[in-house]
Amino acid sequence: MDMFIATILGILAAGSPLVLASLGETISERAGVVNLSLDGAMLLSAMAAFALALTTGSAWLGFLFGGLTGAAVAGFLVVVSVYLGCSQMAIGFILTLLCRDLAYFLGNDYARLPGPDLGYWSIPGLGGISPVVYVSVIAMFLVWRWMFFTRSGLRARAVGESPQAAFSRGVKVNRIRILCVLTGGFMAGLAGGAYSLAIKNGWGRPQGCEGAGWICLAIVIFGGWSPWKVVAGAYFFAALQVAGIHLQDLFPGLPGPVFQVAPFPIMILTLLLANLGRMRRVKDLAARNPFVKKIVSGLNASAPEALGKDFNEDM
Amino acid sequence: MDITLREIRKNYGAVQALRGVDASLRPGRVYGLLGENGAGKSTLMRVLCGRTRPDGGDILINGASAGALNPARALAVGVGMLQQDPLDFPAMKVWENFSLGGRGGGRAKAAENLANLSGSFHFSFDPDMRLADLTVGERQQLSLLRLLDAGVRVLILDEPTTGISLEQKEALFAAMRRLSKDENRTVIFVTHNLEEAVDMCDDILVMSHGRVTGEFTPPYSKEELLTRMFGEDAARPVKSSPAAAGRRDGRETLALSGAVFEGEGFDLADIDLCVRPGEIIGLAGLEGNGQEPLLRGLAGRARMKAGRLLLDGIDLSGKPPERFRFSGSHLLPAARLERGLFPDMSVREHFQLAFPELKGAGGTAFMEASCRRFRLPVRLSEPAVNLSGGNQQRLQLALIPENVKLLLLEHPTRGLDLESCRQIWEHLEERCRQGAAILFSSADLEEILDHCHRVLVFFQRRLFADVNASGLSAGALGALMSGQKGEGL
Repeated sequence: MDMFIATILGILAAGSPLVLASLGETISERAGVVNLSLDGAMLLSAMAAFALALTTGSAWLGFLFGGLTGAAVAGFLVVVSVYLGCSQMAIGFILTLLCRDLAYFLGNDYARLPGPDLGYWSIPGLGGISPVVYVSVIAMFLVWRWMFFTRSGLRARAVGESPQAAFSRGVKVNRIRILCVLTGGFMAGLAGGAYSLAIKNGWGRPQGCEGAGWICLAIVIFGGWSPWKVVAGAYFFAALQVAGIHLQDLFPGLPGPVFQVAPFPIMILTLLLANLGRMRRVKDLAARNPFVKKIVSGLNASAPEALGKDFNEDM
Repeated sequence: MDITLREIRKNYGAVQALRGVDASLRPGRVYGLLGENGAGKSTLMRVLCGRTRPDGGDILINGASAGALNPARALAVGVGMLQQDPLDFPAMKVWENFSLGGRGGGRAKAAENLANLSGSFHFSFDPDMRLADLTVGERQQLSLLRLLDAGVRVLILDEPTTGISLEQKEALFAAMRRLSKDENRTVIFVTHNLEEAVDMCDDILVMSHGRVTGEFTPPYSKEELLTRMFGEDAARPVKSSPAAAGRRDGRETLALSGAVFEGEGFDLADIDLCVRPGEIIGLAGLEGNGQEPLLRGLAGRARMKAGRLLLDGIDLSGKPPERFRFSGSHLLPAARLERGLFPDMSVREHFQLAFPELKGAGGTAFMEASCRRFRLPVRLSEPAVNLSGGNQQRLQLALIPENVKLLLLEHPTRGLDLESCRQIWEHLEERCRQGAAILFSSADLEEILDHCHRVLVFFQRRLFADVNASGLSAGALGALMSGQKGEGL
């Protein structure tokens, strides 16, 4: 039983930065902007959060600073793409590479130093739980409430579906896009801070969160841009990673890297399964069989109509 | 609310879309805005609702300048526009579409406002349905209600009768009368349909080449309106004698037995059909009753789930689109720019794709000759997106291969002016004389009666009737379209 609880807590902890970053990206993409800089931004934020925490001695100040760093990277992306009309994809790609190098260059002085962390908030009977778990759970509810039950959430989704239609209804398209991308970047930055201050403590090369940003981008697609499914996807990936650690003990004969790499192909397989509903044969089957139809329609999702498309007010 | 437009000008590059438009609009009236394609109707209306920024001129509201408008400000002063293609969010729910740009509010409040408004117009909506599952007509009704919810005093309707059913059209006209007469709002009805304008409007403004060229009040003279729209010699009616009936000798161009085609959300089942060379067949019926799956299926673009399809004697059942094309079937989609052409590719590139053997100077000469023949007054380097609707259709015609056997057209003249329609039908009938068979869908009954040998009537998503066109009256065809098989047919 203890083993079971420990595994669940492990999954919750490993999943929380993934939840934060993928929800952030979901917000940004629902408003129509792909933030490809996610991976680099998370790494840079992880470094910035750790560095500030080390300097000031306050892990929470560092955590917040990580968020601000993520927002700053997103801010650069959004200004260049929304206002200066450059391609979101190209800028995002370059930013992710730039931020990665910048993180290792600027963070050199802080590498392999012991530093503060966010500690644990215990629940009696369960044990210590990292504060980032609480933060990510609160974030889930906030994002869901905001996206589907507030005026601004409705506007944000509208902007991602059709900026033309939103504009002609008096919505300030660019302002909403900017706010959404900044919020998304802030959450990705918190995810970076969560890694260096809680989940994979400390800074060094390579930091444990390298590659997590790319996984988050995939999780958003896997989750069909819907917050709860995105959350489920994040925990699923975390579960695969945690399972890998346990399986390693069970099968000592297999080389270690197999278990580290296994989550990635399994993720691809899951993506494939989740999108089965788009195949013609499955469509036909669904038309005949109501049970299959229910499953397929639950899994199917399409991207926001205007995702990645620029918007120009004048026509 | 009085509105005065003063010297409104707008240029797109070298094209002067509006060359100084003056007009004044008073409440309680339905204004018709008539004009051929490219006359500047839509541009002018987009300026009025703040969607397009004019290069010059002024809009006065109750005598005071409204300044620079954007959609938010226009809505705030009470000007709203119903776009030709519904400008809404198909992936979102009905209540969300209603709330956004209306008075706002959450699910409960929006649903309540919607129920109240739709009740008073005898419309009905389920607030939790996805908009994508509604018909174009219903989406338009929802947009109309949203604008009323927002409190507009000036309502602009841009070609609102395109693509909606007869019942929806009547409901829309009733609403327009009520809004102007009973509620003292200004209604502006943009159309190229003369009949509808004459029926509906208290005032008709005619636009031509970016100017208002005439303002008329009842009783209207249709001849005079036509002359103002098109100039002196174009007012003659569309020619109305169908080309020689299809040849009865030789083998059939198309034989369908027990065919089932997959449509959007339904299957068009049990189609038996024979088409002879040179025959022109019109597909009548309310939109979305199976015309599209049949036309697309005959080009191999809608999946054929059962049955047998012989094209010129060759069995093509279930074969891929390129086999259909190779065998002489050619489809001209209604969405010219989206499905028929490549928006950013030039006229030259379109020719090169359609006729890969064209090369060098000979190729250019062929293209230029082709453009002259199809009266396509554009440079070969012009991208398709810059062509007007009529020129896009002429380009599509010019790209049809010489040896085509079965020509399939969705709404061949939708949105085109009379002169373009006449030229297009002239060309299509020429193709028939050369032995091609034509199937086309149209919402315009006159077009069907004028040009067809046979009419296929679709009703409730099946092929309802297959009748000879000679001696068929508009009334009889209308009855068939509403599902009545009367005597004498």
